[in-house]
Amino acid sequence: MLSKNLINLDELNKISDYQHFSDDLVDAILEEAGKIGSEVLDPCNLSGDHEGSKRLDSGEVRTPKGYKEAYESLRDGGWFGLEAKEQYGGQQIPVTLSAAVNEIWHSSNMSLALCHLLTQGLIYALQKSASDDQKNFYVPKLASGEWTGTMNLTEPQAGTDLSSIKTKAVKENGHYKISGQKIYITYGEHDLSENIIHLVLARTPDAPEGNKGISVFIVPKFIPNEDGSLGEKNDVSCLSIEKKLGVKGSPTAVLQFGDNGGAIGYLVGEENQGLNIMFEMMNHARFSVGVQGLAVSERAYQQSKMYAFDRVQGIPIDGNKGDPIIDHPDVLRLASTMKSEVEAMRALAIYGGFALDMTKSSQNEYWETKSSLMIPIIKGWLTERSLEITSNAIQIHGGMGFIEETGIAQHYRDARILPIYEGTTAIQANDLVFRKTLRDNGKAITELVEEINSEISEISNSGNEVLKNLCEKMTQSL
Amino acid sequence: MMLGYVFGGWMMIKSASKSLELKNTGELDEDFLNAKVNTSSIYLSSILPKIESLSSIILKGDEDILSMKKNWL
Ligand SMILES: Cc1cc2nc3c(=O)[nH]c(=O)nc-3n(C[C@H](O)[C@H](O)[C@H](O)COP(=O)(O)OP(=O)(O)OC[C@H]3O[C@@H](n4cnc5c(N)ncnc54)[C@H](O)[C@@H]3O)c2cc1C
Repeated sequence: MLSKNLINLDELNKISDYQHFSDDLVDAILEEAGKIGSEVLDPCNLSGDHEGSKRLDSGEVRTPKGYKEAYESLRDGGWFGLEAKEQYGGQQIPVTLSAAVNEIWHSSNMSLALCHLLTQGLIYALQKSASDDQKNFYVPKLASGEWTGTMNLTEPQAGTDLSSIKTKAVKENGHYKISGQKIYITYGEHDLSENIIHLVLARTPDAPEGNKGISVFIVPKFIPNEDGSLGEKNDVSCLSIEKKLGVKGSPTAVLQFGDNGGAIGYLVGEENQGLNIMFEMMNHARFSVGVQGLAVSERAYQQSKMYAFDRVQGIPIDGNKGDPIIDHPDVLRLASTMKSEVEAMRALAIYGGFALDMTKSSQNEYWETKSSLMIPIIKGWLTERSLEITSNAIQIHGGMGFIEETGIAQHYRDARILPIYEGTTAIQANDLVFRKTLRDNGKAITELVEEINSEISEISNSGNEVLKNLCEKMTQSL
Repeated sequence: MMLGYVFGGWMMIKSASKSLELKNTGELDEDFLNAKVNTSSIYLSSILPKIESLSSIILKGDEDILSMKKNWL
């Protein structure tokens, strides 16, 4: 557990939300999360990929075998409330720690863990931007896992460019009637939880064009009664489920809102503030996708390592007949560079989580700047690197890597979505260059690079030859 | 991407430095810590230098790409 030593956990205790946080808690949570990963999520990973989610003629969606039981374990274990505030029944743990939990689960079963990821995202958005009544009503149900969440941004003509969203929202009797079509909605329809809460971007009739005219609505699949029990089915239907390259267990839905007069929706925040609200949660969501990149890479590495110690083929240079392929220098090169890069990715993810947590500390401004600079890099780099790492994992398996039965091909396919959703890599680069760098004339990035440089020269001068050598390699490359 | 590799290097140096420091305390398994120092070295010798080719591509600019006509594609 070196990652734990790379950041200063004591700093997190000083944040009022995280006073209950301790080393013991970290160990206890990670141990439990590990058990859930290997005993509950992993067993339906490969079978779920092969089976896929299916839409029935009735419009209902059936998730793969084992998903429902796995979801119930997460729900009953209180895991949906990981980051939710205590006042809503959550565990209120820092992102630093939930990132480690997410790594384990997305390693075990990315398709299924996505349901959890989306629900965490919704909880985060509501806690940040919803009214007190909405928070009190929805967050406890989401934190307990009884209900799950989705993000409904994308439309056929509006993917990267959300300003061209067309879904309509018309005010009526204190709520809104929503109509339009959303595509690619992860867990937009499924048979796991009793209710699904959609967070939907739409436009009111008199809204200004473009980015400034978008609002956010809560649209439940079943409209809840005041006591939280389920009422009528809302006017939302699942038209189809996509056939995909990867994350096949997770249903990706086309959702139609308002075919029968309009789906009932409740405004979050104020009208036309939609994109601001989405921006508020963007760092958090992009960070989580970066962690998925780490997770799938770690999994691919683990499986490759096991294979390389087991498979016998050819006689390695300086080796003997019967030696496993890990004794071939090229296989060792693949395995060790994978391990080393995964470690760098993990350290960066943990540091990014810490930076997000520290935005709640007394030095919030410093950490706000630092984290918003680091997040597009974490999202972009961790997800792009996962492509080559999962590809190298196939390489280590040779022909077996290309055969689905081994399970290694799944990670390569699953990883491919990561540099696309939550903003493609091009968008992360634009965010870094235009929003985070040009806007302040490069001040923040220059300060960060100076900080890194001075930390490196401090380590270099600490009197240890090994470290000095490493630091020299770093400065040579820069 | 380039900054990703750089940040990765920064983290690996932190990691090596922490590992060596912890070795003196005897708190963690020594073999585990030696492995950490070695993965840091591998990162700095075999992964970080990728930024050299990336930066040379960036420095050369994208004039040629931008002069590609759409009807040549
Ligand atoms: C499996 C899956 C799950 C998804 N889950 C969800 C979900 O739960 N909720 C949701 O709302 N959406 C979801 N999406 C949608 C996803 O976020 C979008 O696909 C993504 O934002 C890209 O939009 P697009 O597909 O329209 O591609 P486009 O925007 O058409 O992009 C095509 C290409 O053009 C490039 N490009 C576009 N604009 C620019 C620009 N300004 N500068 C440089 N390059 C640019 C892109 O980088 C990309 O390479 C999901 C998608 C998939 C495949």
